[in-house]
Amino acid sequence: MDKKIEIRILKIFVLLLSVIWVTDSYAQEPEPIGIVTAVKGEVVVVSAGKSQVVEKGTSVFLGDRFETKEASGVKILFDDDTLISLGANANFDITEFVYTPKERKSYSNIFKGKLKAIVQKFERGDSNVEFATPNAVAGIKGTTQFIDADGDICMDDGVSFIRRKDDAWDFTLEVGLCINTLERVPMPRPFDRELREKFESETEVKEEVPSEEEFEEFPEEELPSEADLTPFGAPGIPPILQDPTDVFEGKTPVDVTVNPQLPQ
Amino acid sequence: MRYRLRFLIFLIVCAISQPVLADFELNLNKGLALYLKKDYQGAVKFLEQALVENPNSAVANQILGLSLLKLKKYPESITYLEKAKSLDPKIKRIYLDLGTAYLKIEDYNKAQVELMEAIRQEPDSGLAYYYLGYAQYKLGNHKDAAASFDKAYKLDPDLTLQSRFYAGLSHYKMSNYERAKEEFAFVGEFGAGTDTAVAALQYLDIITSLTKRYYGGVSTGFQYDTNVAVEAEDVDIVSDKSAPRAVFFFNIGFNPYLKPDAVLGGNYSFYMNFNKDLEDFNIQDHRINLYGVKKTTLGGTPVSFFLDYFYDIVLIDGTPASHLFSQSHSVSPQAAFQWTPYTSTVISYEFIYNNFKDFPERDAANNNFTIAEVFSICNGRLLLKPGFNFEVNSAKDVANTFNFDYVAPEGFLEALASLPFGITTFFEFHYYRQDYYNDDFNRVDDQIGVGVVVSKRLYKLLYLDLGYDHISNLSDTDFPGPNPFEYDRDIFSVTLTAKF
Repeated sequence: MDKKIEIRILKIFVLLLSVIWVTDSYAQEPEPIGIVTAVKGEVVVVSAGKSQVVEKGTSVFLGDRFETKEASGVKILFDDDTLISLGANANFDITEFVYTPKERKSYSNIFKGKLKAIVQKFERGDSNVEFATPNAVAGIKGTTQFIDADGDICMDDGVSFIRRKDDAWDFTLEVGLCINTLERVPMPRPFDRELREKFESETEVKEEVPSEEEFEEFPEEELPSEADLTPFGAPGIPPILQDPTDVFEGKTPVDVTVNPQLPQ
Repeated sequence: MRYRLRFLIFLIVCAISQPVLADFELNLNKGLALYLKKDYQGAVKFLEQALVENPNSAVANQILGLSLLKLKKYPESITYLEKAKSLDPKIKRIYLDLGTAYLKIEDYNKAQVELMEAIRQEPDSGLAYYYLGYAQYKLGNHKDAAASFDKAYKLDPDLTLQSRFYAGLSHYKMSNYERAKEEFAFVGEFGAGTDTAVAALQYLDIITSLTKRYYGGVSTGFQYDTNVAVEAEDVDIVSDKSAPRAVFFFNIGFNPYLKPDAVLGGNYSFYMNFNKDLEDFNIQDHRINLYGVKKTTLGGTPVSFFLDYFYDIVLIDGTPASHLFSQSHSVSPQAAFQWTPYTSTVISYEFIYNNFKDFPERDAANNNFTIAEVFSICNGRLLLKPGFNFEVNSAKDVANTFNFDYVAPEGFLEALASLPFGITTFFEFHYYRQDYYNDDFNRVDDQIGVGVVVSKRLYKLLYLDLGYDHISNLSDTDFPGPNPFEYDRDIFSVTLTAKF
């Protein structure tokens, strides 16, 4: 065979393999990156272009956009052990999520409403967990913080590096302090009890046991027993008929032979 | 200065308390997430840690209790669920969870209490009614159980199959056969192909047979006997020869009085066999039974009384008896006390008078006193019946013959197992010692017998039985020469039975 033709066939073969590989990659089901552990009121998620009501146990995927209604909320546990509680009338999405044994990186947007985030410390490698409000980004490395899309970011534990999206300023926020990201100059103030309780109550989503359907169990079926096969269902009542052929009763059929002779 | 001090204290309190609460919240949610993913072992690990950080969290106690319930660690599960209830009696569904846990450890009284409270708090929970019905059924409160199962499937259509099956069973136990038939017929059709439907159809058959005035059956089959022996009532004479044989059996009965709690009736049965090359052992046996049954309760305990009378006549070809061999009359009263759904005691007495045409020394009044316990295990799939029988035989004194007076204590064990594919297996073991105390030759027999039968329903009315029996009769006597009463015997059986 002509060498050129051979090379051409080989190229087509390689191209076909590549197409199959790429198609297969696209066809694979996306892996979840978290799970909904608690829901209050009405919450919907737009996932892969489809909108659905959120329930306990709903899987969370990269690119999901959550929307909570009036007096509603949702709690999500991500695979990197970041826990967020989203308050009422909130809008939140996840645009980046990488979690490997040596790297943790995520980027989420809180467009509207309030959220509480508990971020586990990650000491095995690079870590960059960022929550973005409309006008600022908070980078966290192991902490608990409250974020209001309308401006306030408060630290309950740890520290957070905050920068304005318009690069007007950046600021390292310490534990027990709040900052309003709408202000032209960073002005930290104490994260006082009143404000903390307000944030807590506005982002509170109580954990509950899963719904009944998820743990429904039935006792085994009770089969008829010997008791039921006797005349009136009472154990021990003998069968009306002792069937001589029925070895069930352990009785051998009646046979007969001659009487043994007595010794003379 | 004061402001700064307060602020410092606030920061210290925040630094100490908040991480602990944050860890608790995180561990609780990790446990909950694993519970939702059905990784109950993993859930337990995080929930236990969460409880270290906050022991008074009702929800953490409850979910830990549920995880342990899933892991079948019932006592531990109850401990945490009870704690959750004490911490927050209004926590969602705690009574249902506790009721479920108590059902698992078969504490039906406590389960009933919790489930009633669950219903009080959540009257629309079909599952609570279903579990309550099950507890009531197990407690023998069949009337309330039937009502609970009715309510369960009306509130939650997903529970229809199971609820209506148990509603049928509850009506069946109350002898409310018409209503039970309705439920079982529905389950048989609605759940076609499921184990529940199979069980329902079995009960439907039983109800049909219980409500029939006429009944009967025909059996035919083959046996191979390694040592054909006489066992017509108290006769045990040995051929020392093996033989295959054909067997035939027929019976027909009529119940003129038939109520759910009482029956009077009678039947006639006929048995015959044909031994190859041992024609002298061929017999025909005719029997007429008259019987009565009464079901009642004594002090809340279900009791069944049974009284049976039969007349039996045995004919033998080729013996000196010239066809007539023996006649017997028997009267047998019996009482069965069902103490719990799993245990009952059976006490019976039987008096038999045997009359042998040509062997007057064998004519005897025979008395049997029996007590047995029946244990129902694995929802009735396995029944065990150990028991003890004491037999006293008083025979006629005839000069120059053996004396057949004896006493015979006997221990026995019967087991019946319902296996998959509609197969039933029966096992029997007995040991008795017959002491012929008036015998001049000091005869004492020790008999051990085991038997196994495997039964399979081939078609609606047709059954196939495969059986094996072994008997070892060891006899000790001063009788000179070979002992005519000592023998071993194996019997292999195949029979087909049609019942109607």
